[in-house]
Amino acid sequence: MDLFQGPTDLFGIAINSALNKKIGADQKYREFIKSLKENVVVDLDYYPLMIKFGEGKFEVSRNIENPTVVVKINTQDFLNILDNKASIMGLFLRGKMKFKKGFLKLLKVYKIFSTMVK
Amino acid sequence: MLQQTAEHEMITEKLKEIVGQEWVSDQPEEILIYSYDMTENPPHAPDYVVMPKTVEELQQIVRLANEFKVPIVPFITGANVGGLTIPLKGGIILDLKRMNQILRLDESDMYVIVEPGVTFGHIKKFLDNTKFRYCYPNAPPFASVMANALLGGLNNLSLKYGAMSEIINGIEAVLPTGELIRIGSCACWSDHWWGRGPMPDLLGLFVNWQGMTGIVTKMGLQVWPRKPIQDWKAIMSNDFAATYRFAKKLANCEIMNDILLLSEETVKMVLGVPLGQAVWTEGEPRWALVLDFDANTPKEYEAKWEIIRDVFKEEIKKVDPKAVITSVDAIEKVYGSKLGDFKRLPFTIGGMLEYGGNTWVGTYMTSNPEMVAKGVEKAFEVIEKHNFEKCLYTRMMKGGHYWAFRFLLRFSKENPEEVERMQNLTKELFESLFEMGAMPYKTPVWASDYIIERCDPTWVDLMHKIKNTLDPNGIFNPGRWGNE
Repeated sequence: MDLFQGPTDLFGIAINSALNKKIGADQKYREFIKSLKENVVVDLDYYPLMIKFGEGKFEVSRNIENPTVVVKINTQDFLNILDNKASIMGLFLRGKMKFKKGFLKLLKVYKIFSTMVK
Repeated sequence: MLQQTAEHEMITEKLKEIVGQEWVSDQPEEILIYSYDMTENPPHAPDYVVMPKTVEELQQIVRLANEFKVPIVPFITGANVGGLTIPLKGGIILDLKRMNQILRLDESDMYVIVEPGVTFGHIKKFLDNTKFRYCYPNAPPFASVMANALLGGLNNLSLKYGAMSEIINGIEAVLPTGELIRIGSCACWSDHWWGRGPMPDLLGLFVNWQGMTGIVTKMGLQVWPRKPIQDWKAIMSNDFAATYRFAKKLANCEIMNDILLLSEETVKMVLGVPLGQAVWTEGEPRWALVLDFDANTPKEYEAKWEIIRDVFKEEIKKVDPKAVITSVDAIEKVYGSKLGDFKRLPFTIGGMLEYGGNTWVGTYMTSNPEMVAKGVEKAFEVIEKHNFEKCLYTRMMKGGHYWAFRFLLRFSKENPEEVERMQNLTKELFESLFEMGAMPYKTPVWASDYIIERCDPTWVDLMHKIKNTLDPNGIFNPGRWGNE
């Protein structure tokens, strides 16, 4: 049996891996993720990815279906967030992170990604 | 096949007299594990396994083998990925693991003297308590330092110093006829292992000979001061020509420890993507670079980092706007320790050993950009034809003088059809690359046979003359490089 389960694309693996790591280590975060019912699309300049939250689980995939939130950010900025060289709020305020859909869910998106790699 | 003849029993008894009963075996369950390795090369069993502890024991074993004309194959961990310790003609496997002492660190001339069983794990642990460092391949910590040096392996400081054989200061070796010899400054002064010149350099009689000319019992190897600041950066890009130009230009700046260029498939393999699924898909970045550099002061670090960023902008970003550069620390935060392991050598590349089969076509070749690009294109075409993963793992060598061009090929050894397909792939891949001037290191038998047919016959004659002179009974690792 393969030990590896989940997406096999480079950025899908990244998001899947970081979310799982955080969920395993932080009960509050786990409860927060369990409560989500959103289809969040992260539109990187390489390709878009959807994180489907619901029924207490999440799934990362390149299949984009019925997104409720779409966030556009370039890959370099995404990596800079992980490297503590940029903040989600800072990028948002500077227009480098754009909501193409679901702007009202800004706080949820902020919570998903800002604490994901902390 | 084990032959329980009277001679076999007598040799077994004599071996036991030399090293002690517990260090000799001819039992099928014990010799089995020495009959194969992780590669696609066909297995062949030895008749005996012997584990000497001292040079004197080793010399006695060699004399005994000469008397009965029994082949001897030196072995440490068998992790060479070329089938080089599979005993093609049976005989004695000389397992050197018990000779595992780091005999000395010379802080002034900066070298260590090691025995054959010293592993990369041993030397790392030993040097971590000093101000020095050694160089490491992406090989398991249990792999032998000496074997990798004798086989000209690459490492994380190859950009500075070349293949590992280029940092050997001297050796002590047992010849196939049992004499003990020394090469380098240690031949004149037993305590001075600072270099090989200016005497005639005879080290070439042992490097890359795969144990056909002698069994090295001690080796002096260079070490270097560890710098206080070390860092790793990663780049993702799509354009091979631009990425390679970047690597070449940065190598020429002479500020880096290492420039590793990987295909996306290799990154996925390291991340644990299962066998057969490490494939690039449309839209993903195609290439990854891992950059290793260090500095004595923060100012020096900043200056180097600025050069890296400038060369990145000039050579990659201009033609590939999506390309990104970040720290390996950032990558590690997301992906976990698997990619971060590039900072923690020695380590086993993730995803390589889980399926029983692992081999490579590993070559050194010209660093000419056009030839390299053609090589990548051709190699990808061949791998695709045979339906395996395109796990390219390459490195700029010795300041950019040459290029290490290799593929890490994993497969399932449980499946005979897959093993056969892998044999066909490695042959075709090697033959295609050889035509472009790529020479395999840790050369398997099937590849050396191919090379011998195509290279200058005077070189082949000379090699055989040397071999026959040093090993008149032909007992040291027979069957390699056309030597029966």
